[in-house]
Amino acid sequence: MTALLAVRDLDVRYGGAQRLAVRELEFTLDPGEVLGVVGESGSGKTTLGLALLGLLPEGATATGSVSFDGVELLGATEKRLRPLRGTQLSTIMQNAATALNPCFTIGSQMTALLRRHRKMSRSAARAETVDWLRKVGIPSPETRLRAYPHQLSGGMNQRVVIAMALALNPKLVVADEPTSALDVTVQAAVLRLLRTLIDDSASAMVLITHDLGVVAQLCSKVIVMNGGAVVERGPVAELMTKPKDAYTKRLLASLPARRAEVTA
Amino acid sequence: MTEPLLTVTNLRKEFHRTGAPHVVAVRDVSLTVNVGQTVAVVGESGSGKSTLGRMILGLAPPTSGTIRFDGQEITQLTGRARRALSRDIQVIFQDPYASLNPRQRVEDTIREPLDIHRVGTPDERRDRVTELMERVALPARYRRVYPHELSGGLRQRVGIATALALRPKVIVADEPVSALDVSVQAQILDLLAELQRETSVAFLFISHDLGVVHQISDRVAVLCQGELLEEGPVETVYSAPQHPYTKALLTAIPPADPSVAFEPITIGESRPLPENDPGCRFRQRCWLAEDICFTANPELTLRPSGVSARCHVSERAPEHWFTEATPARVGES
Repeated sequence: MTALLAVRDLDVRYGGAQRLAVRELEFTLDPGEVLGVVGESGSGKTTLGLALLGLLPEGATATGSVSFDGVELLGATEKRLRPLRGTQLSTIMQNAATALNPCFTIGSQMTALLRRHRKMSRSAARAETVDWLRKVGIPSPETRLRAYPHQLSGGMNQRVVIAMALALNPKLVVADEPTSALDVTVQAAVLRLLRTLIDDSASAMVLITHDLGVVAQLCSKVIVMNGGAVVERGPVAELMTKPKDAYTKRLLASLPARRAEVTA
Repeated sequence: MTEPLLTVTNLRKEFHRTGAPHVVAVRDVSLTVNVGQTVAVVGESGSGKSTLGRMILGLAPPTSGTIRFDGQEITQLTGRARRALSRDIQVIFQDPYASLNPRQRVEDTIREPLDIHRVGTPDERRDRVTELMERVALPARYRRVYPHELSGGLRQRVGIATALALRPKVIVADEPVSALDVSVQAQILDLLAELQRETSVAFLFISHDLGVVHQISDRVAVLCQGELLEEGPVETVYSAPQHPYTKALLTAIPPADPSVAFEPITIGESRPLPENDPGCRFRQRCWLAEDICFTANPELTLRPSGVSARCHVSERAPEHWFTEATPARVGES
């Protein structure tokens, strides 16, 4: 079986910068797999996500290969990428408040997405939107359709963003810090939701995060990045219990003694 | 027993808005901080934890209640008298990118409090800056550098050196490590603990991160919608919380070990209750709520374990309220 996503020898450089932002990156992802990309600020993890999505800013140069379902994404034109976006390849951004358009209701944003890609009738798109909002745990979805993003909490907006990312049943979702902006109680609920949705769909996911707890809960395998390069990779259970690389060890040792497993 | 260093009694802050009901950001909160102690204030966004810190710093006037510091009531102090207090009460802010003057060199930033309070001679001030930079492990080569040339961790060290310059007795630290990477976070927490051992400075440590709080604090106070729901020694609160909200917060941290089951108690999102509501502030999100929780707000009572909590259910069975209760997951409704 060929991999859904195969990244080979990927280098990314911003403008005339000396250092590569991403260096000699290689990995493959099969359908249904969740890959965690862990690293601190400046490690290149977000740049990697942008490269996968074809969203690198102008002035950034990428070499190597990102092959998605047989299509080479590096250097692909907008025209080539557009039909893939949403239906094949989608994204969950960190900040729901900026990912949503403040001028339109969440209902109109989501029905527009469905109508554009699926050529649905207005009423069918509306019905499906309501279904999705219910699925991601938004109470009374029929009324929330008419809400603008500023009328919803950060957690609710993030649920809408997740619904929009998954609504077209994409083959790959790139999620960049999907729960980092949320309160811990809301994060817990959104993590559970993401886990259920991933289990129920055949989508693969690249989950970019600095939070090793999030990785432990959602990912099957993980790569650790430092200074643009992969320093360690492996199945999540193995990497987190028996890290080999010095940097991974340091990262794990930095975690505050977490006592989530309190027994009352 | 001698008086605590800092005593906050029934402190309240209301924000009044035109054409909308007023907001009670901090609801008659009482707590104390002793010399050399770290007291953490935890809560979600909107819980009032930062407002509490701002009132103690004199940055927001309380609506009612009192703040006593070092034997003196400071609630109403203004002007010169209040400024003199900043020798003893200092602050470390969350965002080292926003809280440093971008046009001031590192040494000038650290020196500024010494200049304002006219501490020592110019030579002595310069020596004190050297000493402070050493103390927070800022290499001397950064003396004449501007903040934009520094990483987040180094900037936060500048912030800490500045806060320490006047040898304060208490530092209000509002999310001092949440903008930092996890490995840098660990270094800064170690530095704060070390400074406390040496100087006996007390910290009021405001944070949303229960892992960080566990590492650094002696006592912890849990705020929700401005109300103090639980307070006590950190180990006791973490091992046997007396409030369902604290319990839910503790289970919400995803364990960084895939073999440990992650079973958060889902409590939905914070929604403010109307001001005249007589019941418990947490009951809409509580999976244990009973009839009485809708009609009477529980008092903060001291439990046998030494923890104070505000909950009817756990008050009745403080030893085994959680194991006896069957937590039905409450949804997002």
